[in-house]
Amino acid sequence: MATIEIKLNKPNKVYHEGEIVTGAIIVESKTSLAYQSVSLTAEGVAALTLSAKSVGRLESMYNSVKPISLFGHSIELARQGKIPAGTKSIPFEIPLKPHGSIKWLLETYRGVYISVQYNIKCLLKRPLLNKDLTKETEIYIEYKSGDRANNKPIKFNINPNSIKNANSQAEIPRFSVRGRLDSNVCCLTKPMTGELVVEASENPIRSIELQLMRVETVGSPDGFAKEATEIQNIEIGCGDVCRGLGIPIYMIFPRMFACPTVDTPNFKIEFELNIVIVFEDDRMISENFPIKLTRF
Amino acid sequence: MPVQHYAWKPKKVNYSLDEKEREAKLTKLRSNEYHPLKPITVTESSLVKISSGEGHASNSENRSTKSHSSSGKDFIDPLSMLSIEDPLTSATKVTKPSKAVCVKNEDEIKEDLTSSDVSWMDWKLDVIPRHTTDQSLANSMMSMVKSGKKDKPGRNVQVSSVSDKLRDRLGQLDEFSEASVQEMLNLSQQDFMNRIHSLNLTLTDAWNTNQKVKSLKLTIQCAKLLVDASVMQFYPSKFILVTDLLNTFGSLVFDRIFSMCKGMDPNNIIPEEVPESAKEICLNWILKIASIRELLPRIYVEASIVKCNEFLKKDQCKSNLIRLNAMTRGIGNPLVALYARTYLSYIGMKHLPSCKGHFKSCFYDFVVTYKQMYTTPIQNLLAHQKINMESYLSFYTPALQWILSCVSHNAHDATLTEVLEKCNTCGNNLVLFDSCISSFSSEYVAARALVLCAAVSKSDDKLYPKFRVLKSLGKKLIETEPPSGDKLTILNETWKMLVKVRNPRDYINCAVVWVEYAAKYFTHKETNTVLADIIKHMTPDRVYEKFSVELQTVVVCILTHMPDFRSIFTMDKFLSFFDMFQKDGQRVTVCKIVAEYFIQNQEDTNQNASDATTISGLMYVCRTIHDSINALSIEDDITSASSLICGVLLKINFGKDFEQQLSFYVECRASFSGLDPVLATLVHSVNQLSGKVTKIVKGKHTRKTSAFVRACAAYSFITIPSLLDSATKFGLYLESGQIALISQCVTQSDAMYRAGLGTIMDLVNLPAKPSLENPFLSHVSNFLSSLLTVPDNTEQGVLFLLRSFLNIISESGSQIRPDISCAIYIKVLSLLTAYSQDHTDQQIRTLQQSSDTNRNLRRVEVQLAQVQERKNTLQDLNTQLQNRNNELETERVGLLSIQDQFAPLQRNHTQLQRDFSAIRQQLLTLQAQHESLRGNYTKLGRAKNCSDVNKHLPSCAVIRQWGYTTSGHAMIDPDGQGGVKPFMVYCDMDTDPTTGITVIQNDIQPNRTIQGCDEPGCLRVAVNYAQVSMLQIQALMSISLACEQKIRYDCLDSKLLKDGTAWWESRDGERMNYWGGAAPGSGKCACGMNSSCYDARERCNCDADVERWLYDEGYLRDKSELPVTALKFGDVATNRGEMGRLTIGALKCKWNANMSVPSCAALRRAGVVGTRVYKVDPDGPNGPIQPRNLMCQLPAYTGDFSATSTDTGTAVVVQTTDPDLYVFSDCGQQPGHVGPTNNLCNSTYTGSNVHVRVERGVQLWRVPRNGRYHITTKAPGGYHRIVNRTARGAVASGEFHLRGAVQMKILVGQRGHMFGGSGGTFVIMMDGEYTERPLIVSGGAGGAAAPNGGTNYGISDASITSDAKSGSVTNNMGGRGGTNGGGGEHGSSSGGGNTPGGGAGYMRNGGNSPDRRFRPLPTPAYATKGTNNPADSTAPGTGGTYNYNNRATYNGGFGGGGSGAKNAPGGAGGYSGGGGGVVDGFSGGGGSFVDSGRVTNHRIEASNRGLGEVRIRYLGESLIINQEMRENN
Repeated sequence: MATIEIKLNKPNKVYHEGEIVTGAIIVESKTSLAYQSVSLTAEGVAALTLSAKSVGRLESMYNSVKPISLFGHSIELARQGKIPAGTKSIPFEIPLKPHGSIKWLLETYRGVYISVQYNIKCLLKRPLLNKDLTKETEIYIEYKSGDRANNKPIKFNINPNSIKNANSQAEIPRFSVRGRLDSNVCCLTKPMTGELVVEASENPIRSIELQLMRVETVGSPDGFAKEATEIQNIEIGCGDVCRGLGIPIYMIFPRMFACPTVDTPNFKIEFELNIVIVFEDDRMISENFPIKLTRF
Repeated sequence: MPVQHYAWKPKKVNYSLDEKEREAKLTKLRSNEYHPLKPITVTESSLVKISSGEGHASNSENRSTKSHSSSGKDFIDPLSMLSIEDPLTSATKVTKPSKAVCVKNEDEIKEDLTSSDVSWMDWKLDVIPRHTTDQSLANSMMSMVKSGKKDKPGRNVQVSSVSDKLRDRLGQLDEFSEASVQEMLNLSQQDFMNRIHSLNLTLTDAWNTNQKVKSLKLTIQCAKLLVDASVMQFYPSKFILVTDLLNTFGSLVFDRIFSMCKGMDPNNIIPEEVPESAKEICLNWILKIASIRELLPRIYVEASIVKCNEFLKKDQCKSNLIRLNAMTRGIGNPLVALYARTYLSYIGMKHLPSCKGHFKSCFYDFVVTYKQMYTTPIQNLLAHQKINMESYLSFYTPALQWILSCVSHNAHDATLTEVLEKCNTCGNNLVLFDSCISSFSSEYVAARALVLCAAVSKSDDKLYPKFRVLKSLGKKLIETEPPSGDKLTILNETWKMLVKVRNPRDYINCAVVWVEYAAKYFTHKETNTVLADIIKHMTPDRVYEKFSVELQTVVVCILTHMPDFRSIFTMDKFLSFFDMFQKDGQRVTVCKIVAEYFIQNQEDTNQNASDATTISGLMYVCRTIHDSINALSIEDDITSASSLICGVLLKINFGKDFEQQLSFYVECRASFSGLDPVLATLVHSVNQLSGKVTKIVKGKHTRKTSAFVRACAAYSFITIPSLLDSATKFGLYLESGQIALISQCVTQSDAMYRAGLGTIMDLVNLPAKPSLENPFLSHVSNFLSSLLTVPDNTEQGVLFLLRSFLNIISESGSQIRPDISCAIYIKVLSLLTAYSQDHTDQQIRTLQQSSDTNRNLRRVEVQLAQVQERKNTLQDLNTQLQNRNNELETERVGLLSIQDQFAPLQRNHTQLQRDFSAIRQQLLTLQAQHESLRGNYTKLGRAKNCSDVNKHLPSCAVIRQWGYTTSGHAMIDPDGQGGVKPFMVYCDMDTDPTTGITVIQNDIQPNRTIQGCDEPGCLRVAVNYAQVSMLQIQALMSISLACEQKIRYDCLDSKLLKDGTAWWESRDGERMNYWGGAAPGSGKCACGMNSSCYDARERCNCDADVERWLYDEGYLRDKSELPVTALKFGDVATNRGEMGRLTIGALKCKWNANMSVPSCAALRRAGVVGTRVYKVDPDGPNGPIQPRNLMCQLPAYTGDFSATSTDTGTAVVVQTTDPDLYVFSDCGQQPGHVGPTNNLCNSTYTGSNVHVRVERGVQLWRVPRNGRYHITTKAPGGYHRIVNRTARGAVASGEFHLRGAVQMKILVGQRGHMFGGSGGTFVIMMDGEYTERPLIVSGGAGGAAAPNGGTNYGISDASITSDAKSGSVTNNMGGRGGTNGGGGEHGSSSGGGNTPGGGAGYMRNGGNSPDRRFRPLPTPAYATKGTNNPADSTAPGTGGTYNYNNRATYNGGFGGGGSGAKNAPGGAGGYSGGGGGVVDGFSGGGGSFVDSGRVTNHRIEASNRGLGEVRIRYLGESLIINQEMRENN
């Protein structure tokens, strides 16, 4: 049995625009292996889906948005030949340059409705009656430069008066929470920090949570489809927390589900932070903060 | 022997001269050796007492500490209350209910003990037993679970509305997917612990089996268990169980990442040097854990792996700890939060003991949240669980203590003061004080004791009892002394508070500590007051009954801290304190403790000695102990009690007041009459007393002192009889007697000895101790030696004691073992010898003393008279002994008479000896006769001589092996006894020098005429074997390696095999269609095998069917078919004059299985077929060469070689026993132009160390390892029937440095057919996939024009240069040899007929024969180089082929041998191919080659006439290769 493998020189597979992906195709076979060609294709695609919720189930099925090609590169590494038994390594290089009209390579991202993926695919074509060997591997693109996170703290107060969409102000138990977020433009790789103080609360509190929301907006001929997803929920207070004691707000952004905020003509990816206070009687109060994520 | 009478005389001894010698001996005595004067019992008892005393002391001390720490209401595990001797046993004991922890603990002990001074381990051990609950967790937990479940759904609906799918993904880590943890909720405490334990194992398992996510999940779920504080009694224990698991997890993660950073110090990780992959893994873990939804599990799990942060960035660990600390503020339940902080400070302590900041902030955060416990949720919970505030707070203490001890670890005083200030500011601070006091260093606490005391007294004790604080304070103060001015104030203050404690349990718990304080720092006065107060508190309602342990501790405290026993007993409350120990057992225990302390601590005997109070107190104590012993007490109790009492008694000393001392002993005797050892001790003590007095008066007794010593003697005399143990009794009698003698109480001493004598017989049957002499004997000799000093009693006569002793001995009869009694007599003799000396030391000294002191002349006279009398008595005794000697002499005479009787026997003996030698003579004669008979046998070869030998040898081969080398008849029995009967055969020992041939004759006369009929098979000739059955023949053949039978048919116009005319029948009567000399089943005669019959078209000479005499003959050698049982003939019609003559040879078998054979070749010639290991011994069993086990590859023998041919090319030796030698053969394929197949080689090399893959005849072999190798290649010799006319192939050898695993192509050359040239042998190294590098090549030998003999047309050996030789230059028609790897030209002949091809070289094919007369057409010899076009179907190195008109093939050998033609040999293969020959000429030998760039010590010669072969021998390591490898790396 022959196997084929793509081995990249960078173990974490993270690349930046303009860099050259280097690596090798490793073919391992116990017997000598004849082939017709060995080729390598690299492509980057932003795939968009319309949410069933916003445009209807049927629509979403056939009205999917055409994927946007961001990057493409294909090379033939070897023409017809024979590989002797054992391990053979065929080195390759792929320069990372955006495709035609695309100005820059978007970051790798995998969401529910939007995904940006970069794949390298290797194909070893073999003579008739033999199965071709293929192997695919993903590389991750990150921005090389971009907006920088700022350090402007945002202060907030949550109390019955600050709640806007309550049915009736009277039913809300009296409470007062104040706090501060250290920034609303946050660096992805650094934790989000701040502090929260429960100054008073009539009802006992069950928990205080940080909810990280992602809002994906996909442009379609019919307008925009906007979808929010909770991507992380972190408890920072559990039980009836001590009054007047500063509880730290601390959250690390999830690597898989977070990316720098993106705004392109076709789609947008934005993030929001909710501070949720749950009382012992299951009442829930949530305060929303739009935040911008950057790589730097 | 004549009888001799000896007179007995005492030996004169000069004692003064012997003195030194004796002293030397005396000093050699070791202390533990038995000595009569040494008071054994006493030393022993004191030893016992000390050790047991320590045991008790430590027991009770530990009890005290334990009971201090255990608070009143907690469940106290009785097991944990036991002593703690060392951490390990305590771990097992204490945590007996929780095996989980126990196992973990052992792992952690080292870690914890080394990591910090503040021991987590100790802390755990302290906490676990205290916080257990025997109530099942189920009920309370169940209720919690229910309410929890009720609450959940509402909330879940809201959350799930966000996105189900995503939630699933996120919730992966959160959900309780494992059923295991869910079950936890219904468990009892014990089950819970087991569960955690098994989870711990599962965790490690999961980790080891690479299920990292599963182990993380398990950890998270376990951490989650800590959220639930519903059963608070168990919460601290649960915390410990879970944190143990977390620690396991943390260390697993850390170790994994750490294992990726090679050569780093775990305490000093340099992030810059951590490999990227390790960082990546580390970051992954951290991010995974950071995304845990719930707060508490996140904090715990993050904390457990906090150390891993060090891999990413320096000091990351510290900032993370601080952050985690802050995060605990989010925990609502103060208890849960506190324990989370405890874990954080533990982690901090473990990894960063130097960073102190966060400990303090831990504590301050707690102080802020402290007030939370008054909030409604907590209060509701408490009400629900029916826990009062006090016990609730007690759940805080362990955690608080831990945190505070972390804070105070190496802390500055200022920090501690700051902490205390903080405590002071908040309300309900007693619990904080308590924790502070117990955690801070004792020096600090002691310095501020008064302040603290005041603070405590001010505080409100509604919620937390004061006495606990006081207890902690007391403990610290005991450790370190408070300022001297404050001591009393502190005691007063605390006692004031203590008095108010109503609950007796709380009171006594605290009082125990403060009693110790008082006893340590104050005199008996204050202590007494304290004791009085305790008695006051404990007496009402007889509560003391419940607190005996604590009270006992009080006693121990006092004893420990007040070394002066006088002051202890002066305290009037001390003994009344004893009244509180109402139960007998308790009181005795306490008394024992007191006694132990007394024995241990009263080193200074004079100090308290005679104080009446102390003595009466001690006597009270001892009496109590004594009274506790009764008939039912066990041995150990008695021993310990008596040793204690003895110890006390020995300590009590009245100094010079001997009278009082004696009266004390009298009192003691009355009190402790029940204990033998005590009485013995008393007797010893009295004796000692008496001795002391005698010493003081220097032997001159006054009236008073002599009365006193007599009283002492009387005391002993009275006391001794009440002892039970006879040995002790006897010993004491002797001792007392000696003392009495020293004290000049002769009468008393006499009485003692007499009494001793009365008991001596009780000692006879004392059990003997190993390695010591018989106890009775030692006692007796003891007695006798002391007798020496005893003056004789005037009334009883001289040597009265000795005589009565002898009487006793002689009357004892069989009670005393004879050897013992003999020894006793000898001892008596030596005693008498000592007596009879004119000057004896011992005695005279005593006597002189007495005479000096008393000035009593009469007495001297009496003594002298006594001496005289004694002499007389000695004479008497002498006579007695002489009599005894006479008796012995009589016995001796009796013995002599027996000896006389023995004399005739001895004569008999000599007679017998003479007979024996005669018999031996006869035997020798017989032997000589036998020898001559044997000689006769061998010379005459008469079988009958053998017939009387019972056992027959299996075959002639064996007979020869046995040394009979003369031919003759013999009986053999091939299958041994049983089976077939032995039978007679002829043994031919002359034909084959290496083995005997078993010959079985048949009844067919040679040249028997065959004539009579015409039809095929019409005439049958049956073959019978003389008196030997077929079964016997079979048996012989089955043990023989080879058998043969010659068969010959002379024919006159008579066909043999053709048209099925004639055949022979095998053993089984099967019709056989071949004739002797041909391959079985071939249907040919010998000549048919190589197409050399009279008519070349026929397969037998006879088949020519011509009118002249022809014959076909040959050997049949197939053991499965032999022997010939019948033959059928035809075509022998008398009327046509056709006739035949048949000759059938005898059946001959040689070699036995398991017998050594001369060579593989011999085997093959003998017709043995197949591959097997044989024992090969070329020079026979008697030669110098040891036999070797070789694998012989024996292909069917079809050649026409006669048995006399010495050709060696008929068998292949493939196996060697040398592991470093690799031998490659042609795998038995030769001769021929095609190389061996893979299967053939694999079966050939089976069992050897060679493993090859064969591709198209070339053997591919990988070099086994780097090193120097010596390679020898041999090309096969040419083809010639006469061996020394064979052309010789080249033998090339040299050393090479080879790299391991490099592929080698090995091509072993083969011989051609008849005129075909031989191939060369090649060793080629593969450089990479395709490049070949020939290393060493030996060229094949050229062929000869007359291979079957006859005219000698010359031959050409292989060339030893790389250029080949040319064919014979007769007429200049021989082909030219190739050069530099080229092929040889073909030979030439006029008209293109009979033209042989040239040999192939390494690079080029050989010249093809242009002969086109026969089809198939000849092919050229192919070049050996492997890079021929792969499409070419012909393998490299294939020899040229030539088929002579379908009659004979003259193919060249594999390895590039050129094809031959009739009478014209083809060129040989080699590095360059040899040129082809011409008719009646020779062909050229192949060129040889050695890669001179790589070889060392090479050598090429043309010397091989045998087969082709390659030998590769590993010589050793190669520095060159190693160097290369290093450079490449």
